[in-house]
Amino acid sequence: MSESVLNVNNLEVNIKSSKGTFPVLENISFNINKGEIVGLVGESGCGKSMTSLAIMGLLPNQAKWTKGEITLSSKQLQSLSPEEMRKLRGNQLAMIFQDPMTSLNPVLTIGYQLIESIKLHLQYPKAKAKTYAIDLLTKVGLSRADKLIYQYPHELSGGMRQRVMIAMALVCNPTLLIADEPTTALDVTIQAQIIDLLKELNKKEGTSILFISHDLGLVHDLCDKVFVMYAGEIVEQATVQELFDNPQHPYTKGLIQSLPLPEKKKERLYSIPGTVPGIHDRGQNCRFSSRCPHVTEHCTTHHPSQIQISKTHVVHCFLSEKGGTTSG
Amino acid sequence: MAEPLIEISNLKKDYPIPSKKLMEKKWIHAVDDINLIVNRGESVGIVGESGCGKSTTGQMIAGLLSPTSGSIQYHDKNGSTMNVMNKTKQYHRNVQMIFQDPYASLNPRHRISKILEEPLRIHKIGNKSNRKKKIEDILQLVGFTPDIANRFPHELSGGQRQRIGIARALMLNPTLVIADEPVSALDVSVQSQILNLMKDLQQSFDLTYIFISHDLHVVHYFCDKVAVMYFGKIVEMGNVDELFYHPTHPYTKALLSVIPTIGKQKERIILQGEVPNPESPPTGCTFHTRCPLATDLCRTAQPTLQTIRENHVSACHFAMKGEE
Ligand SMILES: Nc1ncnc2c1ncn2[C@@H]1O[C@H](COP(=O)(O)OP(=O)(O)O)[C@@H](O)[C@H]1O
Ligand SMILES: Nc1ncnc2c1ncn2[C@@H]1O[C@H](COP(=O)(O)OP(=O)(O)O)[C@@H](O)[C@H]1O
Ligand SMILES: [Mg+2]
Ligand SMILES: [Mg+2]
Repeated sequence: MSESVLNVNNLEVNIKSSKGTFPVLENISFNINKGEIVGLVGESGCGKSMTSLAIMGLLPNQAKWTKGEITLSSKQLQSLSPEEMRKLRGNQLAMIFQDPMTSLNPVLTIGYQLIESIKLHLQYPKAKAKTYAIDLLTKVGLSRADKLIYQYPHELSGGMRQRVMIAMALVCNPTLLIADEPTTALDVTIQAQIIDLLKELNKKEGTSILFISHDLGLVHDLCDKVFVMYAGEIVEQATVQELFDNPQHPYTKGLIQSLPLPEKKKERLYSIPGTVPGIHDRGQNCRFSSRCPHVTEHCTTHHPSQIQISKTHVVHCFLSEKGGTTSG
Repeated sequence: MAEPLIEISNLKKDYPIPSKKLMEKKWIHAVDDINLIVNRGESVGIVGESGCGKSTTGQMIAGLLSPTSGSIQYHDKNGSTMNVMNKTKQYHRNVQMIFQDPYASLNPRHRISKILEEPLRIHKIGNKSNRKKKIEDILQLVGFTPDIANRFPHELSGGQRQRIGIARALMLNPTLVIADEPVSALDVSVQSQILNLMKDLQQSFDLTYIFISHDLHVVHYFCDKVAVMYFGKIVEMGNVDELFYHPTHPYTKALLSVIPTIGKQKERIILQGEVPNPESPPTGCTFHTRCPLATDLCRTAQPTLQTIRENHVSACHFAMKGEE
């Protein structure tokens, strides 16, 4: 049996704005097993980062976890104190961001920051912490780590900074690593290096990874499973193979069809009409109904529940109730 | 058939390196001896990693930045030739630019109408009423209703702002549009909309595009020709299908091997290390520090662009290997 590392059940997060309080995440349920790499995809603003911050216990002040359970290796996160949550981060749970500078202190050396984190989490004495820091930096593919520890973040390239972040995340050998668009700001050759590093980590240490991205191709290359998010909800979950061979949700299909591929050179690209409804205008309908080419009356008045396509494939769409849609 | 519109010869741009010693002035070669012909009606892609000189090249062609040396010639339909160095108003009317971040390039305090009117005002074209008409026409072309003219940039989404950026570039009926990463900040569903629009406009107005991007999928889809840049130089150039299906430069091969694709599994070539520091450029072939094929020859002798096949040149000592 596969062992669950993270289970999110019916998560709801509200956000306060000048217009009132609105749900930014709703009905978020998913499971990540040990050793899995799971992709979370969707357009900007759909709630990917908010989902990861909820798991990390790092929601912004305006946001509030209002419903649901998050279970990390049989620990219920909602019952933890802020202090216990802080311990968990950097132990079982670690996160890397698109911009490493958001979590690196610009006025402290790489080595200082890494060694402090090691001392804090592992209670190593200074000399041992330093040796371990150099080991970690070497492990993430940074050369001359013994010199690098004396350098400041701004002296490193974007790719090197992301490697440092990964080294920080590895201090306690986390069971789950959340990577929020970790390569979006990097060039493809550097992206490929970082993706390789994540793959290796997953293979050698068995670390589960929640990989957040807007790049379907990247998710296809890296992940085992994919969750597709739209306007604060997960609308489809499947294995990578199922999702790309047999996408069910019209939104998933639209995203795949929008990709500019060389074989479409002579054609117009598909483009999803309209825009994502903002958090203020989401009603009790299918949130994609305003943009869906297959919309029916029912879709505009009812919220679709989960339809099981296979043991590993679920979708939230009324079309699939009638035995699934044909592709195209 | 092919009618040259822009002819770029030995184009160079050096930037000074800030130095502590006053007397010792050092330079980086951001664009290092580029030759490129853009034919009328074509879309020419420029690809490469950040810092390789794409934007600098684009801005020099747009006349927004002065080259250190070299020439950029513009061949008019009636047979006359303009040189960008002369910075004539006529050149600027014909060559317009679209930027990656439309927000940064649109004045936040101006309404869309004022933003679009500005090029007409600068070039003293039309009066109040026919300027208004022109703005309405262009807005419709890029898919808006006229009421958008009263809005401010911050009231628009990223995709809408990029359409305004395109509208502004079209105000003067340009011949050449230089688009610097026009879809890089957009989600795929919006990206496809902008790419469709740019293709439609090309058809309607016989536009020529220079399309700068780090996204090889987008360039393959959009362009007819492509130039791959590395460290200020064009290292491979040709017809886009030819080049992407039969790359000969190890850098192009590596780039193509690591772009994520759906479907086919391919063997990935992971380049070691990063682009060298431009303040101390490598000897010989500038790619040798990362090249899996580098030999002593590469460390000492700089390769030049060689013809591989019709419409395909490559600057690698071993480009012809496996081609015979
Ligand atoms: N600090 C915040 N305050 C208010 N609203 C926010 C904040 N952060 C994000 N949001 C809103 O929450 C929604 C989800 O954002 P996010 O999770 O960052 O999306 P994604 O990561 O998918 O691009 C968006 O509509 C965004 O505008
Ligand atoms: N205004 C400037 N002053 C000094 N150096 C610059 C300036 N603009 C760009 N550069 C340098 O020139 C090189 C090419 O930059 P750029 O043309 O912006 O590359 P790209 O668009 O391919 O990312 C880089 O090394 C960059 O740091
Ligand atoms: Mg995000
Ligand atoms: Mg640039």
